[in-house]
Amino acid sequence: MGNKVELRIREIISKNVELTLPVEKIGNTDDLTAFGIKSISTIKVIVAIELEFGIEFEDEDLNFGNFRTISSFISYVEEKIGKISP
Amino acid sequence: MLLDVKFVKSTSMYCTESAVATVAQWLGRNYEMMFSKMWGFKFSYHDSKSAGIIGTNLSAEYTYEDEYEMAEKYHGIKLAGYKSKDSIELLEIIENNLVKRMPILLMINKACCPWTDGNGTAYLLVTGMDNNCLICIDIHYALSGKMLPIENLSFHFELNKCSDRNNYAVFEVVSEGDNNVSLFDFIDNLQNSESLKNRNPFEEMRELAKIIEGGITYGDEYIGNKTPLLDNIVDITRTRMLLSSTLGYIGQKNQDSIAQNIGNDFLLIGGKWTTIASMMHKAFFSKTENIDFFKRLANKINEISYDEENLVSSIAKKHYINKVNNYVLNKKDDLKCISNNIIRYDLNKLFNNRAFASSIDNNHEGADFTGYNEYFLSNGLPEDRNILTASSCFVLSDINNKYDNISCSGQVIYVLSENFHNKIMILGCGEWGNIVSQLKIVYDDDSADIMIIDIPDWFFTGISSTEIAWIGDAKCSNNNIEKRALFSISFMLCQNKKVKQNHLPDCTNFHIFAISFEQNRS
Repeated sequence: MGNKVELRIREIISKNVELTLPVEKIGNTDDLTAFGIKSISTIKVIVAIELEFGIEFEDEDLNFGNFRTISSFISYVEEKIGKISP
Repeated sequence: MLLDVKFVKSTSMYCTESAVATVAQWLGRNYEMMFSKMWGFKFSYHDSKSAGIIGTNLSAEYTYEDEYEMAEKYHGIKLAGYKSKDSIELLEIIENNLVKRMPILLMINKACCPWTDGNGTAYLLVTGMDNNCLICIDIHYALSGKMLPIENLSFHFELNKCSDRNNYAVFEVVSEGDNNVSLFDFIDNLQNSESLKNRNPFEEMRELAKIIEGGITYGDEYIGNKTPLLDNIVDITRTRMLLSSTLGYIGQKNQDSIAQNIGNDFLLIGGKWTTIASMMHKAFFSKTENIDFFKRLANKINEISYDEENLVSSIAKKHYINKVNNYVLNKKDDLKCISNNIIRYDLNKLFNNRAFASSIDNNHEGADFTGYNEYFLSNGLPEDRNILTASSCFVLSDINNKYDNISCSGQVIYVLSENFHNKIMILGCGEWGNIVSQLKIVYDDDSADIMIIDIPDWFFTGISSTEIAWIGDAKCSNNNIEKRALFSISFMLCQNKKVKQNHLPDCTNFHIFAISFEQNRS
């Protein structure tokens, strides 16, 4: 599951953020702010992830500081999917 | 030529603010007081049917002019924007500034920047140049060391021929700045904020919540590609974050835990606004019409309106420091020189009793010192209201004021002195027998001295161990005119510390008419 989620999240980030490096070159734990992600583009990514995975982020979690790495998005989505899946 | 300028990054700062912060740090200065006038909120809803229906009625209510004024006042750094007519002139100005070892801010068309293909204005802090390129920090993208080909500057002038906007800003060191900044500077600014003048910004927040609860008609909120609702919510959010940095700076500079606590509270408030701003953006990106979502969003705005009301009101009324009896004296307006080495507090804010009347007619002008229609007659006072004794010097307040003395009830006077003082001098008297009580002086390092006040009743005009400062006529409860006195007491102070707080005695029978300090000349 992990690999698929990661690929889809990377695709979403690439589509929604004006990155200064191709997303393939960014590591999962790299700070995305160094590559052009900002608070507003983070929300764009969140909205796209919600649509893609059919999940909803908690209001309190809609904080730029919570999602500064690709792995933080992956963990959040996997946890949400895990809760939904039987 | 390259200046080793470290970029000061903050997600809460706009580009020009980041430029000021970066240059301030380059100059070895701080910048945080620049945000000290930033608190505000305004929402006056008019269903105007014009674009940006909600958003254009919303504002964080501060001005850039205020920010630049504060940067100049507290940090001694002046920023001034100009419009250069062509790239040759602009290049010359850049060179002149760099020669003076001062970075310069360019606000030019992004088309000039090879590293971006975006539209709009690039904010570039030029920190160096070589033969062909300017070496810049691209503030918006937080990129240092970007090389801007000098020939590209001409693109800006080709593309912005008709623009009246400034295209560069220069920095200048104009003073040392006000280094004696304290929490009271912040409180003064907050009390004078536009939002707290004759309006209730917290009710306005609740009004915004009510409107948002009904949902957002997204199409109505766009003006071209701009969304004032989102922009203004972000602005409100960031101002709280920046205020937190101001208070953190004040707290650290003065080792003032109260300032630090208020800063932390603003950080929490800013965090809550961040959630609101994020939800608002989510609504716009997803175009949700989910009623439950808007209800949650409205609840959050409502909740923060009460949080912020509690915080701001308590600071503005100075109740934050847990007592209703606190008075903040402004060191510039309320500390006055009597002579070269004597200063006095202007105690008008604290006066709560009237002891002097000019005559026994006219309902004695409201004077009633003891509660038994007793009062001093002012005809025996010196015209200049100066009371001099062998060891002390005072100035009485204007006898035409509503009140002229303090009936002490544990009031705390907050003021950070600019100078060291040898001695505090108090002009006062008891009203109902002799008084023995305590005066506490707190110094800038939070150490304290307790002084025992032993002062006679105003009745004692004869021989007294306490220095009599003035004797004059008073109208007594039996309607006779008799002599009554004011006394002078003084205490030595710790000479290498600055007075920060004066805790007056908790004794309503003790009245203070004036307080002076002798300054340490060394």
